[in-house]
Amino acid sequence: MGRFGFIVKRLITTVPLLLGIVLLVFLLLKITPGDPARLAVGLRASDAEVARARKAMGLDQSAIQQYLSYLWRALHGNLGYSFKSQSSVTQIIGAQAPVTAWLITFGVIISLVISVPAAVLAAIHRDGWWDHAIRGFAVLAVGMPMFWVGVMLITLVALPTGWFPVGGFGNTLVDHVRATVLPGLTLGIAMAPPMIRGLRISVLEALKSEYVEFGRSLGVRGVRLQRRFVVRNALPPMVTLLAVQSGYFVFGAVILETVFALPGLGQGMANAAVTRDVPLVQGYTLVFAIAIVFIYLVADIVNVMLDPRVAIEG
Amino acid sequence: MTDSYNPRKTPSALTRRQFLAAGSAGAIAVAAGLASGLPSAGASTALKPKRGGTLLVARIEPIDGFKLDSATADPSYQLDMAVMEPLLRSASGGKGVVTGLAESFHYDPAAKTYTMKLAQNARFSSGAAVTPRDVAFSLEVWKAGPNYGSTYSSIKSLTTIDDRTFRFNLTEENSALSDFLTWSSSGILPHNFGGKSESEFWQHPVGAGAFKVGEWASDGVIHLTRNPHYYQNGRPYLDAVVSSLTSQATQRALEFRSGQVDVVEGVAPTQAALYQKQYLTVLAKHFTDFLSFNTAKAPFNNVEARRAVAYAIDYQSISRGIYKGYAEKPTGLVPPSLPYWAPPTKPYFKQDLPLAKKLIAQTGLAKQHLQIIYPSVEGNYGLVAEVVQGSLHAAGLNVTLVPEDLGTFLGEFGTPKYDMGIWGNNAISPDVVDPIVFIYATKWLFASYPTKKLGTLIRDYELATTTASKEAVITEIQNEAFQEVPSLGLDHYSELFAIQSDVHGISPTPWGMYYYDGVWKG
Repeated sequence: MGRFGFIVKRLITTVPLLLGIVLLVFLLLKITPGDPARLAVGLRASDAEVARARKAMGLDQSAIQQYLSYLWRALHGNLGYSFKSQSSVTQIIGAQAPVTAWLITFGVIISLVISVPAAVLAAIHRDGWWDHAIRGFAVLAVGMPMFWVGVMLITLVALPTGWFPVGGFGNTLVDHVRATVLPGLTLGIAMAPPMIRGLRISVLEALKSEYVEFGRSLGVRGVRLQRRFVVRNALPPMVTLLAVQSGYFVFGAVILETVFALPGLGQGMANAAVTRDVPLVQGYTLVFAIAIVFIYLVADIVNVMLDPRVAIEG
Repeated sequence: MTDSYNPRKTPSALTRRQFLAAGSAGAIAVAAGLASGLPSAGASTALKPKRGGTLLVARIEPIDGFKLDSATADPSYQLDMAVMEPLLRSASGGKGVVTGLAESFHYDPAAKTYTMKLAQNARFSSGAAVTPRDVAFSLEVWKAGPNYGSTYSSIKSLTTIDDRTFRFNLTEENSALSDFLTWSSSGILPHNFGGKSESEFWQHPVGAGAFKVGEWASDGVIHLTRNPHYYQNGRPYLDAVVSSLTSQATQRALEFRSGQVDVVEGVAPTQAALYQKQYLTVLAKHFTDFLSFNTAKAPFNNVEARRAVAYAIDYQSISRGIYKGYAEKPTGLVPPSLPYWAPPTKPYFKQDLPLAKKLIAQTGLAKQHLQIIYPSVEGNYGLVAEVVQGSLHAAGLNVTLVPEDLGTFLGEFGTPKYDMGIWGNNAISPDVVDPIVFIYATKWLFASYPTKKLGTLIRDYELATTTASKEAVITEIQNEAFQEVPSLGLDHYSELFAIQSDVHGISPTPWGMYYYDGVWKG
């Protein structure tokens, strides 16, 4: 099968997956305690008013009817309106998505900047001082809660220096960059350990391989050997690892957006869940599901491009 | 967590030469001032408000959008008022009602009318004049609201007298209506939503408040810009207000310390230590934690069981131990900081363990396994719940605490599912009937207790026209709360504001509302 066919097939198979994810969240919301109509209308409203609101919001329909109505509207690009603020869900998510994208992009870049050199260094100096130090750092970093790291960076870096804001996202491009550095660093530190470990193993295997031996026999040494023979061949598993980690990146975004007061999807999702703002929660779920499915697809494609030996199954 | 960190960037330390030079210059200036009869260093001259600047506010929770009837969170009330100002305002300190958008109002109980006159320059942010026709339209919108609509049920109609004067015609006397007209839900709207659809309007509301809405997100940043047509000449002083959501208390404190925000609203007493005292403004002891009983089922369908719990609780531990001086023991279900407040005839509950144990034995409460639900939001409810649990345990009761997220909590509170629940209450206008109306609307704070008698007493209050007669009704309501104890006041505590030293003109009411039009920076 050609690559184009592979991509099309994968896109087609994501559709039932997305439908299933949205259905699962829909059902979870239905069984979660809390009355969205009461929360939307207000505590002073009479039971009759709440019942009227429930009807207007479509919550008096059966679960299947509500789900199908939602799907029909979503297919037409209408994700509904927030029960609380009556703002369009598409508009809300559209405004918040760039913030989360910034955060995750920074987080990925920083985790790669930390993990790739660290893993290569650890593998090259296997069982040496560097190896132990880097693996020790990885263990330490895994043990540090993300929100704690964030608060420490705020207290030890942002506050004394004033180089970065303590919270918020700012208004200008420069503000956005400054605002994303510390949360991105926090996310990168949290995500680096599994990547260091995974890439270290990959590099160790690459170092033992015949093509590296062959390279050495041709007189290739040092950085050139590392870059052209070792790292390049050790990277494909890293792509898969990054894709697998994407769920953790999203989880990290939820935490860090709250810690750093970033108005992104994660903070929005947390608030919508508490207030039982069903259209918003469903909208966020759909966006996150699409994003992760897309990330997996891109990871597979990149893997194929990096390693021609990976066959595309028909 | 206090230290000497100055939240505003200070210049680097003076050199010795600079210090001596400044000191000498200062000494000369003081001497010259004394010689010329100027005020001494001990007296201060009032600062003059300065135009300009942006007020940066850290708010503690998302807003409910700008739809007036949807407002349930304090930040929602605050921002709604800033954009769609009501006819009347709360006096400074929350001690009464004053004029505002309506430059005069007169209540005639005999005629059952409120006659009001709009301010000379009353204009919407669009530039259009505010007229009685807009007020009439606004009244329709208020009355149609499921949340607050019943508040305006006594207003039968509106009669226009001239282009600025109108009269609310009431179905019955209601001396408390002026208080409700200070509520954010009583904001004045342009007729027919200014030509927009209702849903479009609430996304981009237009009002006669000091500010107009720019970009906003319920759980993000809200930008307000100065209304150039505001009816108060020279106000607002600020060019803009930017309100950002910061959910975590420690994060808000850090933002304040770094100078990133000017005001942190709603600082709980338990968070006061995160700020230097000089930046804190302490409001009157107003917010009331309460414990509600599910009176619809055993065991708390028995008033003696409820009284047993009431006598078991260590109220002092709550007010002193948790709130560390920022609270007082309860005087009832409503705080004493509101106009027309009056105490019950007998002093409110205080801990009496022997009596509590006696009542527990009589009612068989000790055999029950009871639960207390409370919202696991950031704040004091968990700590209060722990003290209550400890008190009840000391009295021989077996109680489990069940923290729940807010959505789950509100889904259970007031239903047959719970035994006891802890939450908080506050007014949003300068009249003790305000929280009492909330108590009525929620069936004694989600206790499912009959409200017929309370409704009658509220009606009596609305008919009362003198302070003495109002206070007499409040005493009766307090007595009812004390006798039947469907829900129990646990404390009255202060909320605090953290305000940077270069921000002036913030004078919050005890419930934490203030008007942005009087705020200035410099």
